[in-house]
Amino acid sequence: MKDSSNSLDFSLVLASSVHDMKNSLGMLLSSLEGIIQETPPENDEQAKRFATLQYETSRINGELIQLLSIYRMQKNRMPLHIDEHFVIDLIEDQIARNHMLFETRNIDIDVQCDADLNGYFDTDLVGGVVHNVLINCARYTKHKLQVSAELIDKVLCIAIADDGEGYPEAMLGAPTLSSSSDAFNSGSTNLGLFFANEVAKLHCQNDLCGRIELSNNGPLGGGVFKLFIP
Amino acid sequence: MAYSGYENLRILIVDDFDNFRMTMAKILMEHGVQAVDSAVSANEALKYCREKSYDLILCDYNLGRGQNGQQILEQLRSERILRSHCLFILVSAESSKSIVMAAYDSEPDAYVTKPITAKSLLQRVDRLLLQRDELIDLNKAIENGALIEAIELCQQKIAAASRYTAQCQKLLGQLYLETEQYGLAERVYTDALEVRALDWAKVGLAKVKRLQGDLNTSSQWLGEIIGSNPLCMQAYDELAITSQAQGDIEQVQAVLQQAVQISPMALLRQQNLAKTADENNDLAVAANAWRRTVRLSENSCYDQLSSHMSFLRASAALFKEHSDQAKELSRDALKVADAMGSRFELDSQEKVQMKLLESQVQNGLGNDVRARELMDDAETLIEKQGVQLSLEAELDRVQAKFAAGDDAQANVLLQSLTNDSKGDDEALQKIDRLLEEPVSDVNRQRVAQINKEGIGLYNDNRFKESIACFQHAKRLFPNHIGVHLNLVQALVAEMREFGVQSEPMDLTLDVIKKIEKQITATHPQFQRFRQLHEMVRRLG
Repeated sequence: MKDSSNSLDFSLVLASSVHDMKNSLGMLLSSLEGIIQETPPENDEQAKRFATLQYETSRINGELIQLLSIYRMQKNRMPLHIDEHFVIDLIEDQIARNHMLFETRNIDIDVQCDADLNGYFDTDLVGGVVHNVLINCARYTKHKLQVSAELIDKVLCIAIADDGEGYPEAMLGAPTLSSSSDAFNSGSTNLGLFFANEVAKLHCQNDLCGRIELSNNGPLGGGVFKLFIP
Repeated sequence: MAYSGYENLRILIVDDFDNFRMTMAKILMEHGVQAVDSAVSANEALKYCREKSYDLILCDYNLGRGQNGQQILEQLRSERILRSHCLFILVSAESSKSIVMAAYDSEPDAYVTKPITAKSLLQRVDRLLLQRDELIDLNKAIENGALIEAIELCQQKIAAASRYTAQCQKLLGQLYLETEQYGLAERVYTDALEVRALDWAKVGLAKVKRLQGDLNTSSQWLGEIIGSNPLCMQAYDELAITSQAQGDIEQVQAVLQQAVQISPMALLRQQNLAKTADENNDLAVAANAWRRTVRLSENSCYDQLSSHMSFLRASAALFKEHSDQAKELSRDALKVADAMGSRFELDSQEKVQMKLLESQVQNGLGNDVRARELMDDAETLIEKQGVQLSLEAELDRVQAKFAAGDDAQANVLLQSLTNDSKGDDEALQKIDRLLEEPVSDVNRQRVAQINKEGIGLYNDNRFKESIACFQHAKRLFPNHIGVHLNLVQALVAEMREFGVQSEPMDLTLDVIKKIEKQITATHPQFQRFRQLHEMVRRLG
């Protein structure tokens, strides 16, 4: 016997405490929104602090949701609801979710997406991926973000471009999470990319499955994240 | 594209937290909404809904004590006060699979998970309102039962390639099915499938096949849908209906058991499983499904006295098979029975029936004195006060007498019930399970059929299949001596051929013990029993 039978399943413990944390954070976020609503910032300094509070909480929230989703995917307990959706709705949802962040950081967002473009995907999961990329970009971009969506050979491509320094060399191409200690040593677990890749892979149509791609020198001069969904 | 008609909307926000309610109300008012009501509990929400008509209800899932958001939605539907122009949005911090699945099962207009910022939620609301306005005529026509008009409206929207073509296709398929235009429905689904293999179209097509009478194709397709997407709940429900139509009740139960594992909180499906397991006489599955049904019924508009009674009946019956499990379930059932008085108004017959059921459970638990008291109370009510019992209640009375060891009285009662029910096959079928041999035409044919099949397999030396067949028969006719003897004979043959093993041997001894209790020396099959018993002895 490898494991003693009474040892705890750590992933289960983690998952359930992540679930609790996520709920607490939900309360925190909505209280924060309430406070900002009721007592708008009186000066720039305050506005910045509000923005930081909001940014950090939604970042933690995003990470927790990712953790939980990955846990469920591995335990095969992820309810997957693939249906037809308008891509513009998904993009607008995620921008609305983070509008305070963009406003306080003075980031312009340019959306290039046909209002009638539709796709077949799980809107919560793909929304989660776009949300994480947006938050990440908000940190590294200078002034602008471009979110675009189009069909390329019948495959939906959602691209998020920034005008920052671009992605590090090691992340370019089609990244997969090598669960090597490298990632931990460098301080970045690439969990976001792993999650994005897993979500992409869940979307398949006739033997063709989704994927992600990172590149530099994009339309705004910085990095580009692309999510392909067949 | 933002929604422009906020000034005229009537909105209800239901949440037990002030924060969310106030933030939402404020934002909505900033958008021009003038009529916003807010409720902190399910009762308050229902009161508002009964008095006023709303365009939008934003309802939190977890409302503390009392009904949850999903139960409010079900209640509003059952009272028919949720009009087609009203959008119901369920907002929840829950992302656990069973709750999410149950929420999807109840089909709100949208299911939104917290945390959500007011702005994101509003954007969602915007889109739903635009869609509502676009489809308002269509939904009104459906609500009024004007299906022909609804079909025309769908066709127009699809022809105009509107933004809501996909929704209209889904609706059109359903409308064609409801108006029994199966060929046209088939066309809608195959058209949709040519573009994309979506589950709703696949399920729709399987449903068409069933309604056209092609049950095998329907069940095969539904099995494939479940194989590729085990979370497609409609496919399970459709497969259960198809299996029922095929007369394969065992399969119905298997499908529902699978579905219930995936979405354990859907009350009506649990109830359906419980009833099916009752029909199959699968005691353990039935008792557990009734327990879950009763638990989920708390605060629900689907709470029924009959479910609570069935739970008591099923847990009492389980003592025959698994007394440990039965003990645990029975204690639960008794608690439920205690609370029953405050939940339902019992009429005099129901009071008697409750006593009879409780008496059986107390007997199982070994509380003979209490069981006797309850039985005496019940008999007094019947004999002194002349309370009339339905057949179902009379059968509970028979069971209570058997449980108390009053077999002679029980058999007399059973005989008189059988005599009274002559010519009423449905009534006789209900009595059959308590008799040694069935008296209804349907069940007599059924037992003859299964016996014939089992004997055929036996004669072909296919002993394993023969055993399975007689076990099935034993479950359906738990007192039928012939069936039990056939089972022993098949088991003996199997062990002679392939050697004695502990599992079939234990089963054999169990069955023999059961027959021994029941059979008398004057029974026509007594001689056969003795011979078989001897053969078993020599094997062991």
